[in-house]
Amino acid sequence: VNADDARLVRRCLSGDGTAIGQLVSRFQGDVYGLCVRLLHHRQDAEDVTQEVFLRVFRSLEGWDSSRPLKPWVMSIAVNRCRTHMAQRSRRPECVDFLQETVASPPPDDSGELVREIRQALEGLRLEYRTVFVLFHEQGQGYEEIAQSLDRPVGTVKTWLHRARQELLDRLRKRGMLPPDEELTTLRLEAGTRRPE
Amino acid sequence: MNCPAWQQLLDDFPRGLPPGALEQHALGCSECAARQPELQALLLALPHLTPPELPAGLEDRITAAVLADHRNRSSFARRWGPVVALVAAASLLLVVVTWGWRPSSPTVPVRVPVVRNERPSLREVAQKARQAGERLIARAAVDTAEQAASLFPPVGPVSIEPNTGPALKPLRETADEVRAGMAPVTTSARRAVNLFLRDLPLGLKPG
Repeated sequence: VNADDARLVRRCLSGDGTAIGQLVSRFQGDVYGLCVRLLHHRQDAEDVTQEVFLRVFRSLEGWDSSRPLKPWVMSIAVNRCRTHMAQRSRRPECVDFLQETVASPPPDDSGELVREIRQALEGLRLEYRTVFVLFHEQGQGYEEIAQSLDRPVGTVKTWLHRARQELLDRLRKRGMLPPDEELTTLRLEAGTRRPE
Repeated sequence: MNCPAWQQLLDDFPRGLPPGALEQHALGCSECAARQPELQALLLALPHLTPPELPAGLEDRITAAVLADHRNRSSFARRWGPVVALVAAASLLLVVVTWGWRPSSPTVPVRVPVVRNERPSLREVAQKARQAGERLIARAAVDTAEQAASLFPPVGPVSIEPNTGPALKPLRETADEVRAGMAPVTTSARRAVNLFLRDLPLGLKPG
């Protein structure tokens, strides 16, 4: 894969339009998906996705060809999202933006629980949300996520565990899962059962 | 939720879980057995967390933006590259001339008798600066000529055949005509110089 990546990057650096299109096509889904989930705003996500690719191509010469390309691209995406969120927090939010983020969930969701998970995700810390989306939505492995976030694998595992925990808590509070008291009863009952 | 086996199940989740994996595990784990309904719900919901659909034409827009940026940066580098190099070289030259040439100290200390004229004299420095300036100007001239040449289409060799026939007009007559044509200009220039000399407090008489 690295050899393919290196070849593609070399063609991109020489200004080959087809290669640039290929690189965009290969990563745009993951980059845009992450931007939508982190920014909760499709238009902003589109803008940031474009910014991410501009930055990718501007700094392509600095890419270390001994490392895979995808985590490098995703790390730029995570950093751009962070910067965009910081800039947005300094700007006054307009009413349209709030309506879009709260009232209209993405149209690709199916099922109430999935919708609830999406909403609960929005309340998580940025790091938890990022690892959750990369792991469960994009199917990336721990190693890949760790490289994207420039964090040890252990940290990524911890963040993912906490993300799931908080998610379950939030779902329980919203009545999507049985409350804790019932679980305690169930646990006591289950403790008395013996496997056959 | 802290059950390591359950964590392992979730870790394997992107690669796909075998059917009934949770139920199998819950048979021997009281904590997971108690939480089985919610864990089951979560396991059922997670595969439906799919990435959002891409907006139509996003790829084309991004590719076009990247290509435009690539072209802009290339033309900027082509246009301003020599200028930046020239400014950098001039700055370097200025630093060298200002501070003088200071050779780095040798790693092995050698006892050398102190010579008073160890540093280059002002004349040498000026000469070096002049030579460097000449080289710089020559290089800039070559660059400029190359850039100018790239603006015009290539032209093949032009053969000029000398006119061996008789002259159309005698040389003296041509010179008189040129002088007559320049007369208004030279008269004005002479008048201006006379006025200038008259105003100078040197006592010079206008010619």
